[in-house]
Amino acid sequence: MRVPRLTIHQYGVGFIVAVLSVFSILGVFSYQRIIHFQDRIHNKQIERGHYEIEQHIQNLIVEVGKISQQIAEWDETHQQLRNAGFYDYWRSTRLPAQAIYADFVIATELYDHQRNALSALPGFGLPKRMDYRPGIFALQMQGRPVLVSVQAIILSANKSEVGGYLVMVVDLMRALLGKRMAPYVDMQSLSFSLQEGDPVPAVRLYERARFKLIRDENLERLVGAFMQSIMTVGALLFMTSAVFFLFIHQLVTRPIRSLSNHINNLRQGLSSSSNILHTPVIEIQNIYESLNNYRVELTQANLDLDDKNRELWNLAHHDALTRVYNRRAFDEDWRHIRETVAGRRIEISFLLFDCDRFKPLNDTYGHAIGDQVLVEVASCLEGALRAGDRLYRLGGDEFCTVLVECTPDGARVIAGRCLDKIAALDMQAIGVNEALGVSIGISNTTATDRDRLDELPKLADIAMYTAKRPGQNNVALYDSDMLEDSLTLFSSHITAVVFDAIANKRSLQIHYQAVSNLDTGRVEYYEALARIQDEDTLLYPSKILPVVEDRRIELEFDLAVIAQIHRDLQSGAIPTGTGVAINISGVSLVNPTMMEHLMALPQVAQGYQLSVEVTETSLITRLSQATTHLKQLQRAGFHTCLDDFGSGYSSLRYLTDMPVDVVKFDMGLVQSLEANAQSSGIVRALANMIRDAGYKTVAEGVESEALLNIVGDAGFSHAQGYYLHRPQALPLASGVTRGRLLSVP
Amino acid sequence: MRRFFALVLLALGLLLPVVGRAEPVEHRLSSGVMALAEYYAAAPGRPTVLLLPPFLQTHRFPTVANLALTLSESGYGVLVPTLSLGIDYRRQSLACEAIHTRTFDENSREISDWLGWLQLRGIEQVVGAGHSYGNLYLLFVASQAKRGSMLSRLILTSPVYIDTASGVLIDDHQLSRAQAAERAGEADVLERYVLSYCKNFTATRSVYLSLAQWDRDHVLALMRGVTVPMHAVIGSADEYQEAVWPEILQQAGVQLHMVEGANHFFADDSEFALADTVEAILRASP
Repeated sequence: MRVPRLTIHQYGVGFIVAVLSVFSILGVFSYQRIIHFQDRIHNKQIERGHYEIEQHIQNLIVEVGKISQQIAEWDETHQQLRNAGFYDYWRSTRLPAQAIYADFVIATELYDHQRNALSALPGFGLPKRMDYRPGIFALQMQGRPVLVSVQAIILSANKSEVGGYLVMVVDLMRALLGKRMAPYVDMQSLSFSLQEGDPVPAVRLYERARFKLIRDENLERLVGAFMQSIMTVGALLFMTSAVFFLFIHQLVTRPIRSLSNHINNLRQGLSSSSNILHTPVIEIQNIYESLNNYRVELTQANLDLDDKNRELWNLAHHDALTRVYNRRAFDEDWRHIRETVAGRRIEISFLLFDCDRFKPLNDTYGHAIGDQVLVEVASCLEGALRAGDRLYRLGGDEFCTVLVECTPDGARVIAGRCLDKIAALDMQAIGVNEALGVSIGISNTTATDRDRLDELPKLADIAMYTAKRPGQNNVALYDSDMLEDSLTLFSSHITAVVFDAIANKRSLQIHYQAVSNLDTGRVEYYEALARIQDEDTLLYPSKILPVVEDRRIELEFDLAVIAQIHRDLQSGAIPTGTGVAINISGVSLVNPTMMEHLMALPQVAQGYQLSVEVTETSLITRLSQATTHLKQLQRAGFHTCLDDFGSGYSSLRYLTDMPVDVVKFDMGLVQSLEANAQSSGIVRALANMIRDAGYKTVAEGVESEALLNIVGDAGFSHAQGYYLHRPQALPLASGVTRGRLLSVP
Repeated sequence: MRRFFALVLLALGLLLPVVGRAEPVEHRLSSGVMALAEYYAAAPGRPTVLLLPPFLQTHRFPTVANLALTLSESGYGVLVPTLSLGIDYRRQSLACEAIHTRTFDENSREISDWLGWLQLRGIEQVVGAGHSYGNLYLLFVASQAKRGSMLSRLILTSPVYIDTASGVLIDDHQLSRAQAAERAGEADVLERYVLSYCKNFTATRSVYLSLAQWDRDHVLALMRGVTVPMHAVIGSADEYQEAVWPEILQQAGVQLHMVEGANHFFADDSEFALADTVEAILRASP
């Protein structure tokens, strides 16, 4: 059942109305019952009144009959019938003297057997000749109701001889009123509906009786008392209900209303101190106090929450390392700035900062130093900006700032200030022995150019790559000429081609470049190199890998390459007895899926030596996991190769810690063998040392016979380069290399 | 022997219905008034007694009714009439205050009527008996020649007279005034008198005078006119008359039978003594 939603007042009024209604119904019902009871008693009294009257009349009839009979049987009556000489004396003296004779008899007359009156002047208007038949009847005589008894006077013993008639007139009212006081009938009200000369048999006389009942004072008192009780109880109930209502109003409704107003004030942030609640009801007072306590706690909680929110916002919008704003803050601010300034003639400059050679530095000095370098860089940059300008760390060693109402010249000034700050940074203090460079790309536009405004970060990025080029003084302001150079990097077409190659694998090709054993002169294995056929153009890793790295699809790309190598191995196009070296990115190496695919290759590469080549930079992150996977690959029969050794901040620690079998020297390092003696000596010593340590050494970038000879002399065990074998798609041509013949098994 | 007992039983069977069974009698008197009486038929060879009740009483007056019953049980015939006093079928004793319209003579004629009724039944000799004032009517009739001859003897129980000397049973002034009015021929109106035990005897003057005349001398004079034997049965405790009255009666030739301890009405056990006395008188008579 759904209870209607009402106010306490309405419920209170409803309750009172319900109580009063129930009482009224009960009162009316009881009143009707009493009235019904009273009517029943009244009807019963009427019945008893009739019965009483009937009994009185009946008794009177009997009494009158008895009197008449006795007088009729009285010898002195008989004497009058024989000799009426002294009839008047008898009637006036002798008859009334009889004990049986009653005072309500107003006339007695004797008639002879011929119905003639003995008296010459019959009393009370009785006729001289009587025609009544024996019996008792009632009629109206001389204006009053009377009973007339006509009694035959029997003389003989056998009752056969009627000597005469006795006629006796009885005053009906006197006879009845002289009786015992009737309990129900008001005898004073008694009357009879009789007519002159119209006798009514006495036995039916009561039907003509008209009377009133005696007021039953006890019953009237009882009804009165009951009605008074109902009225009193009703009044008391009403007063009690009113008091109850006031009680509820004072103790419940009013405090609750105050409480409700208090809550509303709190909700609206208004002070409710002027509405302090004082109620005798403990529960409501407790609620009020609890609410106040709760409000205080809630306010404190809100303050705490605000602090937390601020802290969270700071955490969410600040870089945990450098304490400058992070990428999230940049996204929000950049959106806000664009929304704010868009369409207005406001100069907006965007500065993008990128640390030069930070990655090798980080690799060389460790993460702790790298982090400290970033902190110092951020501090310098932030200190060089205008007051109110924000510095954002977008990720890694990349920072940016948005300069509102800043012309390109102004931006250049600020960029110069930043470079000065960086240049003044004491790197020795943080344990770095070399200077740190920062490249700054600047883009600028007026906010009225909405499209350019949206592209400012991209344009600054292009400018920043330009700034990294030699001769740019590490600062470059974007101009349209830079766009062409950037198209390669950010070509959406190349990106689409790369994605299509990964997805469909049709355009992905693997070119194989031989790696020859300088001791045997034989091709020992081929390095698998990825190419993508873009219509008539063949895309090389220099264009593929930036997209792969930028899109973070190293794993997908490497898996696609491995799948293609898998097919090539199955095709048998690769000469048996050789091997295949596969380049794996650092991201892929630590991935379990990649491991599953690699571990499946030996099954289809029977007769081939499989190798995995990883760059030392790819091993910087998650070195432990990479080491574990390399060991698993070794156990599975793979050779592991450290690629591009010497291209970065190479550390011999990697060689000692990493499970590698082959060390492939970077092309730059190899070509330095042809440089001065010092450089050549270092490379030679390094190659010999590594070879002596048990590693195979591969010299990359051997593009001439002279360099091949130098490499051989330098102690390299293997060599690779255009001079020996240019990468080519399957099927591979027989192994004749330019300048030096190398046998192929 | 068996036959003898059968005859005895038959005789008893025939007698029993007769002896002791009262017969109510209605008799129209010579005055035209219907009078009532109680009649017990006499056993064969037994006399019949005409028993008159006291003044204003009926045949159901206890003294006479019981005596009649006792006598009838002894085989005597008994007729106990009720003087009508002018009332048809009179069944009740008449009150002193009632209207008395019958003179002594008129009442006495009713005695004669009843003797005639007995005579019609073949009874020629009757023993006359009376109680109290009833004796006056009996003496009066016995002194008459017409019907007095039927009375073979008189048994007067508690005989009385109107004691004019004491002034108690009669008011001399009333009597004198009535007598004077009678002599003066004044209209005979209804008045109240003192007569015997009636202090408000309501009667016409003639009636009053007819009753009040029976003083002791008049009674004795009547007795002297009676030729048949007279017996008087008087209770020794009867204080109604003067104490010398029995003696006077004896002197008047009346055979006196005193019943020891009996009052005027022979109440209680004396009624048996009365009956025994009367029976003894009857048995002793020829």
